[in-house]
Amino acid sequence: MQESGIAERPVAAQAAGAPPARKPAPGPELAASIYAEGNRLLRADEQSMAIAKFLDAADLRHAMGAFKGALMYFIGAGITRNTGEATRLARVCLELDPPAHVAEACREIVAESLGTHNAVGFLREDDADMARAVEARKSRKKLLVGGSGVLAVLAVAAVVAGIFWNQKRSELDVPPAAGAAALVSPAEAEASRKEGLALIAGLKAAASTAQQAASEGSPVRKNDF
Amino acid sequence: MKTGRATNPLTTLPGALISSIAITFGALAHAAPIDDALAAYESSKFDQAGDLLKALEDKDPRAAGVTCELLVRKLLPRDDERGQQACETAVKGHDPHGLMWRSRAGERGFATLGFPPSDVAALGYLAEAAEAGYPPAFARLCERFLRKGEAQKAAPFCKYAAASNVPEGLYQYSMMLLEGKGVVQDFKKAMVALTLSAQLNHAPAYATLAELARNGANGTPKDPIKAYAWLLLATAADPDSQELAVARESLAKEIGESRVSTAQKNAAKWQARPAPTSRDFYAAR
Repeated sequence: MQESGIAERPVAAQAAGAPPARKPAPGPELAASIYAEGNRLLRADEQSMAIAKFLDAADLRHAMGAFKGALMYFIGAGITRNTGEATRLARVCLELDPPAHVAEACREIVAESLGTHNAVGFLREDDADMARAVEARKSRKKLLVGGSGVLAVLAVAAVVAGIFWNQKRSELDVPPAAGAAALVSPAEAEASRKEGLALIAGLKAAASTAQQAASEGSPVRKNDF
Repeated sequence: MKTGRATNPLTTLPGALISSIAITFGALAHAAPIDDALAAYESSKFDQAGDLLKALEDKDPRAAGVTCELLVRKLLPRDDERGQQACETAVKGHDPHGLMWRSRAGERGFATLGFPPSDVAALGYLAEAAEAGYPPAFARLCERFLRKGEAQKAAPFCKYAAASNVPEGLYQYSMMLLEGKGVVQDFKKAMVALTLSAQLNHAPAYATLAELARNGANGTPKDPIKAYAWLLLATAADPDSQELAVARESLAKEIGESRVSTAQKNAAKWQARPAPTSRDFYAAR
């Protein structure tokens, strides 16, 4: 965010390469017109010229001029970054009773808590947009705080639900009330019994034949097969 | 006018009632010894059962069958002569329980009571017990064929034993369903068979359920809390098993106190029911 070679406070007329103009009589209208010119130069991406205008406006006790000057020093746009100077201008801004959203941003510059991204946003937006952006930020903050609360509650609920679910899931499986009939129907059971007995009969017959052959006619004991 | 002749109280209606009750009680009193012996045996009071059976086993094949089992299983002090006599009495009387245990006494690798080992004879006794419609004999045949790797032959015996609520039969059938050996693999049915066997307090069923829940295998989600609860029930059903005790302790260390406590609560809710006794199987024949 630092632009090298621009270390000193520029003067708008000098920066433009024009001969020094007649110094206008100070007054709110003049300050406003210098501030408006600064905004125009900023939009035209003439940052060095724009900061010179904002500083001039600040010198004329223009709160917004001081604010934008502070922003440009804060992020190093069109001038070497200088948080000290940014803080000084933000304090000037605060002395001049700026709109609430500007005052809040100035306080953040003083506290060095203003994010660079937000500072760039403030600088690019016109005053009305800036007010809306500030409101949006506030809403986002509220949403963030509210959302965090909701998330915390949801997280606690999820943990509790997880514990209960785990307990429920880990409960032992209960066999069906129908008992073994749920596994093997009576018809199947009877068929299996018959199949088993047929198998036994087959084995017995085979064993008997084999034994008879082996013992050459010796009597087969009843339970040997 | 009434005479002073005394009437026989037994010829009156209340008298007849009294006499019939007396006869019934007399019959019950006569039947009592075998029932007392079986009751002692079913409640694992084996020494008491052994004493009561002594007076009955020469004449009653059923009493002889139970004595045969107690001596084969070494639940009574060793007495080969008594054991052989009891088993033979049971066999002669075609008592299915006795046939089943005579079979065991002659199995190669298990032979006891001085019986010569013969797998063929053992199978013969078992077959006769099955032919007599005794479901535990079907379970034993199932186990025997499975042990020999003949799952297809085992299938009908396992299925019938399972349908008859024999805990071992249910367990063996569940293993066949889990592995898809001799029957079509079916995890859902296997779980039903396993839980039914566990409900009859069969320790191997509890242990298998624990193993499935611990490893998350065969369609069972991994759940160490459930595994621990099953192991608690397994060790309660088979307190002598060192293997189960070690598995339980190892899992307890793995899951921590809080989960152990949840598992204990879940295990406490489990309701086992008494396994059918030999008397139930006799009655169902």
